[in-house]
Amino acid sequence: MSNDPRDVVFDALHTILTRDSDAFLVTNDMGAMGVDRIRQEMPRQFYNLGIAEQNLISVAAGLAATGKTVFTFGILSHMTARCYEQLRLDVCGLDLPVIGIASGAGLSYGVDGPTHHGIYDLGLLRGIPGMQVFNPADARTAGGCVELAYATKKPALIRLDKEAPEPLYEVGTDFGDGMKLLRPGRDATIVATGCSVHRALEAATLLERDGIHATVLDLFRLKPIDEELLGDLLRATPVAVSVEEHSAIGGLSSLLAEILAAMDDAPRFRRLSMEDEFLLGATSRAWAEEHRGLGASGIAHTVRGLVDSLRGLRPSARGTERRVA
Amino acid sequence: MTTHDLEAKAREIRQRVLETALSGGKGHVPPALSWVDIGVALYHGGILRHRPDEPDWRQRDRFLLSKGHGCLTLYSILADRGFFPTEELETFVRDGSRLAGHPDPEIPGCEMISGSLGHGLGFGAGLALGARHDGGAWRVFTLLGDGECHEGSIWEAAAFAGHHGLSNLIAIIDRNTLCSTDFTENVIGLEPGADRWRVLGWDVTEIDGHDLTALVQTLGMLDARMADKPLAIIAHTTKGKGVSFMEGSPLWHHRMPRGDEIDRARAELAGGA
Repeated sequence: MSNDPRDVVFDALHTILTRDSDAFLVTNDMGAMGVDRIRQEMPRQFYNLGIAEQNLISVAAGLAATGKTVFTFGILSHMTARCYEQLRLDVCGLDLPVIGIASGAGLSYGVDGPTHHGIYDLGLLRGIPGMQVFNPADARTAGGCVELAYATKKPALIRLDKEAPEPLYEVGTDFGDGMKLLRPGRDATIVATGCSVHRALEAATLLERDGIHATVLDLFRLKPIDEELLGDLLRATPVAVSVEEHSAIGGLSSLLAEILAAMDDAPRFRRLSMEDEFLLGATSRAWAEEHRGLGASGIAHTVRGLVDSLRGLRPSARGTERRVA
Repeated sequence: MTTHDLEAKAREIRQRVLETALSGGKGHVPPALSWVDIGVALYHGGILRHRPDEPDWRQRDRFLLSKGHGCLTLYSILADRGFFPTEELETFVRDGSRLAGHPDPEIPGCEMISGSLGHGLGFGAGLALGARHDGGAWRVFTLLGDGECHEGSIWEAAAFAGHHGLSNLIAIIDRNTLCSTDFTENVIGLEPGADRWRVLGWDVTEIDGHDLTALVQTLGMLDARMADKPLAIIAHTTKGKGVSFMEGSPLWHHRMPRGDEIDRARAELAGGA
């Protein structure tokens, strides 16, 4: 099985479209090998609607209203903001099974400039009643998200990353909870989503060397959330840090802040994210990891600082175990 | 119904539009009066296949009021046809009523949420595509405002429907020449309107949108139409039709009549003025 999320997602779509003649794939002239295979083998179930995203979503909604399940495929930044009202009113307003497959989560296309940055959509999507939002960290989760969304017969959007990391999960994993505990710890909880999950795991390894045992939680479904389960996981450690390649506004950190605000026993919380900013020019993922603290060392630094401050240690005093007066 | 009966029904619907707006204290009366005859031709003239006691009947023709602000006419017609009790019109825009200032599918007989313009043609094209895949004989009618045709999404949808030859899609353009605050041609010119549709692969018919004989005749020949193209019916109408001081006036979009204006409007719509 490929580690590329797009390969696995289009294999899953191929399987679904093969067994369900009422399932369709439509695209805004976006190509991929998996798309080509479906276009060639199942032309009746495929439409290229051209570069016209507003119409694409309205047509998908109308088609879905006749009892079809419609998968859409395009670039994340274009398939959310450009056609936001169509997603809100035509798809979610009527609770129709239109499932977006959107490529370019975070800075997947960072060097292509701000038009292609997938760091502004989560607040938009989470703000629509009835929209399911998935942000898988690896190919197997991505395939699982397609199956989950298809089974609900309700609106959904699945963000895809361009990275093809080693798999986090076994084949056949049940993704129904929307989150997975990847590593248990007692000192801190790192909640990450998308590509940041891999950096969080690396950070946990670094922290282990300092005697800090960090939980790593992969939150791959950002809506709906099992708030009780997430709340229990968050209160299990005194510190929580969110990590996401998304704007500071509306994404994972906002989501956690909403949940923590309702808890009486909330852990101390910090976010790691992009800022509320436009990144003009080319911006690599490596740049964001260095300058926004989204890499393993940045995450470890933030977690360490929080744990130390809670233990009453000066951050600089680590290793001497000197108590602050 | 005879043409005479349809004309009487249209008068009745116009009166109901006004009274419904007055009961709620607000509403887009002139944009509703503009398409009353089109609506009566569709629903009462035997054109639109529908079952008021089974609103979700699978083989129904779909009617989409893309210009959702014209909903006073839709509500009045749906109530008259029996989709919901006529008394419910008195709840218009009251807190908790199903009948808001723009329509949504909570109302029996409403297929979509509209009121933000530019959605109905694309949604209708999707429905028409679904019908084609299913081999369904039902048709999709979508009523567009002419000001609504300033929306780019209308032309994305028109190009799509034309390219795919969705002959089961009929767009009726309520060409009353006015958008919200001015004449369309003063804002962004829409003419030559018929040519716009033709170049995108549509058949085009122009019609007097208040001539019930012509409306029923044109709409009644749709099934006999041998076509591989969608059809645009440009219905030339008068905004505020039936109330002289509203007719064709840029002042009257969502303004409500007051004082003597109410009496005059009532008298004119009753045919007594």
